[in-house]
Amino acid sequence: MNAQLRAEQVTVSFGAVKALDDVSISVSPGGIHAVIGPNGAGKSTLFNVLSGVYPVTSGTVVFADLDVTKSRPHKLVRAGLARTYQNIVLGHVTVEEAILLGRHHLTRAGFLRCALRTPGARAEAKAARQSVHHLAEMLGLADSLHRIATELPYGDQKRVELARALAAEPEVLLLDEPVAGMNGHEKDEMTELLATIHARGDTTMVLVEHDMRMVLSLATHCTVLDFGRVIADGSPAYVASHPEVLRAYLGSAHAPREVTP
Amino acid sequence: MSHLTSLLLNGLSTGAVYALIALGLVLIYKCSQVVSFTHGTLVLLGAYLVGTMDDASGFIVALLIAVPVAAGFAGSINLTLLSRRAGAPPVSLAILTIGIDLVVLSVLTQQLGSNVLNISHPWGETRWDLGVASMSANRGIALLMVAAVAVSLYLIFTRSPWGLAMRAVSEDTEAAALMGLSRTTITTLSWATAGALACIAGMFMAGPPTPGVTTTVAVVALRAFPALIIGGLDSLRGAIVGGLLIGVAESLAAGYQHELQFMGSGFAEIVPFLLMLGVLVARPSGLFGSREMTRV
Amino acid sequence: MTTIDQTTSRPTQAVIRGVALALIGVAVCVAPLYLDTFWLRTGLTVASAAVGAIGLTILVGTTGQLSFAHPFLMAGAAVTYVTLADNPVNTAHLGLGLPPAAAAVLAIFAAGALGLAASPLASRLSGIYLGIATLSLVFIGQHILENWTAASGGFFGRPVPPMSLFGLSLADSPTPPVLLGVPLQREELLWYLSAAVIVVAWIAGRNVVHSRVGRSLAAVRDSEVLAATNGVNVRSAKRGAYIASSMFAGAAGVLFALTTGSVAPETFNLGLAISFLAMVVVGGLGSVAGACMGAAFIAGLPLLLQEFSDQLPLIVQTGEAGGMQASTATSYLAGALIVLCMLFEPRGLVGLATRGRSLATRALRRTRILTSRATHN
Ligand SMILES: Nc1ncnc2c1ncn2[C@@H]1O[C@H](COP(=O)(O)OP(=O)(O)OP(=O)(O)O)[C@@H](O)[C@H]1O
Ligand SMILES: [Mg+2]
Repeated sequence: MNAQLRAEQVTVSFGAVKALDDVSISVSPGGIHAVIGPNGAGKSTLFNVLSGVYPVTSGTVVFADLDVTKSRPHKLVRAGLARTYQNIVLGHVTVEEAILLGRHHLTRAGFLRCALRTPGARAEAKAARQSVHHLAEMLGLADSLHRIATELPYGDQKRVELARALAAEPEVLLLDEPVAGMNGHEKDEMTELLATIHARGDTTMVLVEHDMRMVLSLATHCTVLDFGRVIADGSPAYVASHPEVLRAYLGSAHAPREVTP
Repeated sequence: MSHLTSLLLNGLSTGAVYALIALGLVLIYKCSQVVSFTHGTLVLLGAYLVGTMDDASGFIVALLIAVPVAAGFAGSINLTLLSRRAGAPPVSLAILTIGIDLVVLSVLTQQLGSNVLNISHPWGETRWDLGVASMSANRGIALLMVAAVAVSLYLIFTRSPWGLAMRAVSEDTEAAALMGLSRTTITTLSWATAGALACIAGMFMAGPPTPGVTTTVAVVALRAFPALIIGGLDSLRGAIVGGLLIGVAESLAAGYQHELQFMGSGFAEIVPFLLMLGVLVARPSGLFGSREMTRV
Repeated sequence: MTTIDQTTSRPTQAVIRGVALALIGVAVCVAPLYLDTFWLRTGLTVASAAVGAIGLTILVGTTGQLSFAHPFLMAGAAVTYVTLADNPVNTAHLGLGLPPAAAAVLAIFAAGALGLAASPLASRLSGIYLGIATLSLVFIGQHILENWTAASGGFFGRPVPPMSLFGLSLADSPTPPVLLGVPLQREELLWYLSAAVIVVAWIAGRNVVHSRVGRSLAAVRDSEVLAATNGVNVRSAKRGAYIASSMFAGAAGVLFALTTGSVAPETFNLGLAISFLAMVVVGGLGSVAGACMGAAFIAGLPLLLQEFSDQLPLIVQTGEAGGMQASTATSYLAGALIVLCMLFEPRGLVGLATRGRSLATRALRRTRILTSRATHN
């Protein structure tokens, strides 16, 4: 049974802006839960709250028996939460090192053991490296392992981020716009990849996405945000025909659409 | 009682000078996320400029030349060096300003040698007798100056177009671009303003009751950093409060040094730094600084 | 952090590296037999600076935390060493008469403890705030040393008891050990000690930078949110980096005390903190090799300028007029180099070396291609 991720009546204010207004969301284990909404609806803010990065103004967030609003983010990672970012964050490291970071919480060696390179630390590092190579193989990054991550093409960088999140072997995976900025072909590849990963393991996925086609083909459940509020929640098909949803998208002069960053 | 009053008054007036320096630091930080370690030396530079020119041209003319020159120099530091690395990590930018500081300070050290350069302020050694206490006119004028600067900065920030643009830049680059001002223009203006403030601060700092212009000025000016941190890196109000607080604390510690003998001689000089550590432990972003959005 | 050179194969690289290391090792071992005291002293000064710089580059370069605390930590370790090792009977100051080797180890831990004491700051503040906060440690440290004269010796400092290892005192002696016909006096013996300490510091530093811990520190530098959402406990990572860096500073402090033979509070000032920053920036932030190169440059240069001032234009002896003093000249250069590095080559000397090497290999390849074409024709 997977860890449960749930937010109840969450409000987040930035000064006068209410980025989230009384938002409740419950992610059922094992599914793919899409969060959609126009620009500025509060999707990324919701992810930042779920992953413990933003404090809430009010409301409760629970992940696997942890009170998210009181736990620092690294604790949530240990409990099985991993995420990617809308704006890629990789740092000046090689692809291999970037992905290895994901395995941080699965390895143990501290300052002293690392400085001395004890046999234990070396064995641990080797195992971590192997699983990273394995992941890189699966995501088509094997040839780029020793290149500086930020120098890769955009689509590859997105995949490095995904690989890093997967390296953490999460039970719940938060993906903030995994195909934004990709061309049609890359998008299809990524969609397929996510479907495969989901089918293979029992990773729960929460997905922010503007691409309705992708949402409809992947998601098992869908929550729609607009101006920080949940305006619809249900199956993707139900949501796609919900009048409020159509109005929200038309109101912001976008039908459910494709987005470039 | 009058001992305490005079300590407070002198503390406020010293603090006023720190506040002038810290205000410049805040302006720079707000616009460009740079903490300028060049600033102590800019204070020295200002004092040096006034000190070298005032014999020939008189104090007022010297000041009228020195302030724009210092402003221009500070602005050009930003224009030619820092703006090239706009957006780099704050630590890298701070290190860059340390490098600039080393060069400028070496030049000034070389120029000054071991001489003491005197500034002949028109108010000289005059002391103002305020009934309960007296203070040097030099520091009294500094105090008035800070009040004037605070009011004008407030007006500039809330009324004038470039003040608004400056605020826009510190909050959002795009908004400023819409107003037709480039980021570089704004940051350079903030550096220039800070340079002018540093020059004025240096002019006061190298006057009574302290001796003239020596390289010590650059070291003493470092006490504006505690002022900056106590107030909060990005708060103009904080810089003024922090500066005054530091000045008063230092003055009290010096005034009661006999009672504080057990803390060692020269304790007053480190009081600003102790105060800063205390504030940081209690409030990592200072008294008025904006908090970090994220928690990690 | 890692660059891969595709032009030369890995085994060749390993062989070249092995040979180079062996040559350097031999050179370091025989150098004291041929160098005069001035060069030995310069080497010792550089060595202590290098050990400190390795610690600082982990903190500033790898973790992205600005720190001026190095002189404070060095002073803490130096004074601890002197106090623990000094013979209580012979000294006018505080002394516990511990064996010097034990005193040195304890001194390094004392520096670590000072780092730990400062860690409420280090773990909660980030980057620039930490930098300014540590500024205060320099001033507070100097104040304590100037006033606690029983331990520090006050303004004039106090003499440093010599190190002694396995019954061998690293001091001048009428019956010194002899190697290849050369008597090994204080400087020669300290040279070997320093070399050993640098090797340990270098290996430990490199291991940390290229490990799980090093990766987590780099993540903290790149983005604290990134690090935290990848399972890194950001506060303890920063605390750890600070303590580790403090212990390197401690080792540097002990070496420094042994080398100069006396510790005076005045030495551990803000200028020293800035010199250390200059070393790690000029060498290349985050690089252990760079830290050593930077140390050689920044710590060695003033001594060389001073020594050869009469042969150099512009430079004059301390106290002379009509030119520039060695220390001022070094400040100029250090400042200018920091500016140049930050503007054009953030990887510093190491970056220049890498560039030089890739230029060389490219040139080599081109000549190879040309010669092979020539032979084909
Ligand atoms: N750190 C912050 N400080 C201030 N305001 C913020 C912050 N983060 C988000 N906001 C505001 O909260 C609102 C929601 O932003 P959010 O990034 O969550 O939207 P989003 O749904 O992810 O949009 P997009 O599709 O563009 O990614 C916006 O008005 C934004 O300006
Ligand atoms: Mg978003």
